[in-house]
Amino acid sequence: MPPKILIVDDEAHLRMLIQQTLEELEDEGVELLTASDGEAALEVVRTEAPQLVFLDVMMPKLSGFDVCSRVKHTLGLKEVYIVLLTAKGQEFDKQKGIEAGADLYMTKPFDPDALLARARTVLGL
Amino acid sequence: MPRGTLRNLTRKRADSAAVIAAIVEALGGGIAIEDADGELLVGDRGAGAASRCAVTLDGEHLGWASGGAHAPALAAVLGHLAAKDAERKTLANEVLHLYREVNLIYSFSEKLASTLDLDTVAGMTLDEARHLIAATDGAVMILDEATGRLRPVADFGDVYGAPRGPAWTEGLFAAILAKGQGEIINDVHADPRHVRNGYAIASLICTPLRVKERVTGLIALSSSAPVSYAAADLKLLNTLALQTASALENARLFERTVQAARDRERLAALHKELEVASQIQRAIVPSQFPPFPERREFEIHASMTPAKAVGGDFFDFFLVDADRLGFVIGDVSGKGVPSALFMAVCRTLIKATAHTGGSPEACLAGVNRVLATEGVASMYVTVFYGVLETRTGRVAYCNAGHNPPYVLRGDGGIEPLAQAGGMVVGLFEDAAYEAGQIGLGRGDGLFMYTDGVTEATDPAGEEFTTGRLVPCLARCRGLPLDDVIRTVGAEVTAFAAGAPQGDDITMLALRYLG
Repeated sequence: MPPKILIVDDEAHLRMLIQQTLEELEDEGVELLTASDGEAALEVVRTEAPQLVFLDVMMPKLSGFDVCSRVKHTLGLKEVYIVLLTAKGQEFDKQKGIEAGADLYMTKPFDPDALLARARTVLGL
Repeated sequence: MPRGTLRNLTRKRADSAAVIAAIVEALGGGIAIEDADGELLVGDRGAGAASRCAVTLDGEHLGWASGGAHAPALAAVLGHLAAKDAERKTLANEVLHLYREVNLIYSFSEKLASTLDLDTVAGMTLDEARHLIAATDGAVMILDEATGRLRPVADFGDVYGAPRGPAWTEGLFAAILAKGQGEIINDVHADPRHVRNGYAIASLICTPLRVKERVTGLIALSSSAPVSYAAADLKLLNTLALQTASALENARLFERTVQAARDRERLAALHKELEVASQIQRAIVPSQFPPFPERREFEIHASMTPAKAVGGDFFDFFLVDADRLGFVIGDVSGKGVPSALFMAVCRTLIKATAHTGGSPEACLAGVNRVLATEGVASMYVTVFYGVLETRTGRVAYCNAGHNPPYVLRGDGGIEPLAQAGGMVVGLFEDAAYEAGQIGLGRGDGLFMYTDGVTEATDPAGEEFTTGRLVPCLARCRGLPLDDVIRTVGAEVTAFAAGAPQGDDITMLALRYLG
C-alpha cells in the first residue's frame, strides 16, 4: 500500500496549492487524495485510510473540528495524523483543536516548505 | 517530465483516470498501458505487445500503449493527457510561486512588526534575502543623510563588512542609488559603471530602500563566482525592500526618539547637578545679615546674583582679629561651572591667607603665587581685598585688577577709591602688589561691585555704566546698606528691561560707624 495524504479544503485553489506543494512526494510513490467538504473527507478516510490529513477548519456543513473528532474518536483512527489549517487572523480555538484530537495546527497562508517538511516527517520519508 | 507521469494519470482518483477507463471500455479490452520501465498500469499484459506504441511528451519517453490498431491513437491520447497535466502543473507551480511570495510578505511583515531595533530589522531582512536568493555576500546599507555615504547596518560574507570596504557610494551602487531602481548585474566586471575595488563581486543583485520618494539605502546581494540572477529574484528582493524600508525608517525614528529622551534625561541630571552646585555656591558666601550684630563700629551688607545657575563672582568678610575686619570681592574670568570651581578655590585661599594676619598686598601676592603656579592655565581672578581697623576707621587695601570701589562719604560725596594694587591674580607668578590706605570717618563707607553691575545691558545693548551707578548711589545717601544694595539692584534690573543677564551681579557695601 502506497502512503496516502488527504487534502481537505472547500477552496479549490488551496487544494491545488497544497497538492502542488506536495507534488514531489507523488514521484516518491505517495498518493495525494483530495476532498472538498467534510463528509467527502470522512468517506475518503474510511475507504483509503490515509496516514496524514491536511484539514481546513472553516468549511460549510461539517467543520474541520467535527471531521477531526469523528476520525479520531468515532472511527477510532487515532493513528491518522491530522493537521488543522486555520486562516491567519482568525480566532483559533486551541482547546477545541485539542479536544477534537488534532495533532498539529498550521496557519494560512501556509509556508510551503514547512508543510512539505511536516509531510515528510509524518510519513517517514 | 517525471517518470511517474503515466502512473499518476492512470491512478484511480486522478481526473484523467475516468477518461482512460472510458476509452479502454470503448475499445472492448485487448489493450495495455505500461510505464517506461514496462510495468503494467492498465489492461492485459498480453495485449498486442508487438504493436505497442511509445507515449512521449516533448521528446521524453513516458511509457507504452498496446492494443493492435488502436495503439497509435491510444498513445496520442495519453500524450495529450500528459501534456494537459504538465500544463496544469506548470500553472499550479506559478500560482504556488506567487503564494510563496504572499506567505513571505505575510510572515516577514509580521516579524518586522515585532521589533523597532535598527540592527535587528536589517539582520532579519538579510536573513530572509539570503534564504531566498543564493549569494556569498550581502548587506543592508543605510544612506547617511549628513555625509551622503552608505553605511552597512547588517552584512554577511567578506565583502560588505570589511573595515576598509569598497567606496559604496561610487560606481554601481551610486548608479542604483541615483536611479532609485533595482538592478541585476550578472557580469559586474563587464559593466562600465563598475569601479574596480579588489573585492570579490562577480554578480550583483541590488535594490534601493525607499520611503515614499526618498531613497534611504540599499539591499545588495552578490556572488564571488559568476551566477545568473533572474528577474524573479529581483522581484523578491524588491518585495523585501518595500517591507524593510518602512520598518528601517520606523526603527531609525524610534532610535532618534530614544536618543532624544536619553539626552533630555542627561540634561535633567546635569541641571540637577548645577542646581546642587548653585546651592553649594550660595552656601559658601555669607548669607546672614547683619553678620556681626554685636559690633557697633561698622555695618556691612552684600548680595550676589549669578547669571547662570553657578557663577564666578564671590564676596566674603571675616574678622581677622578683634580689631580688624577683612572684606573681599572678586570676579573669576569666564562663567559657569569652571569659573565657579575656580572661585571656590580663590575664596578659600584668600580667607586662609588673610587669617594669617598679613597685609592685604602680602595676602594677594601669596594667593597669586599659589594660583599662578598650581592654578588652571588661562584662568584668573580680579580681587579687591581690604582690611578695616575698627578702632580707627583706617582701611588698608589692595586692588588686583578689580573695578575701583566708590567711597561714599557721610556728607553725600562720592569718589572712586584711589587705585593701589597690581595685576589680576593667578596669571603671573611674580606679579607685585602694593597697598593703598584710606581713612573712613564716622558715616563714611565703601561700595564695591563686579562688572556685572556696570556692564548690565538694556535690550538695545547699551551698558548701565558708572554714569548711572554713581547718581544712583548718590540718591541712596543715608539709607541702610541693605537698602542701598537693593536700590542699585532694582535700578539695574529696571534698566535691563528684560534683557538677559550677561554676567554675575555682585555688590558689597561697608560703612564705618565709629
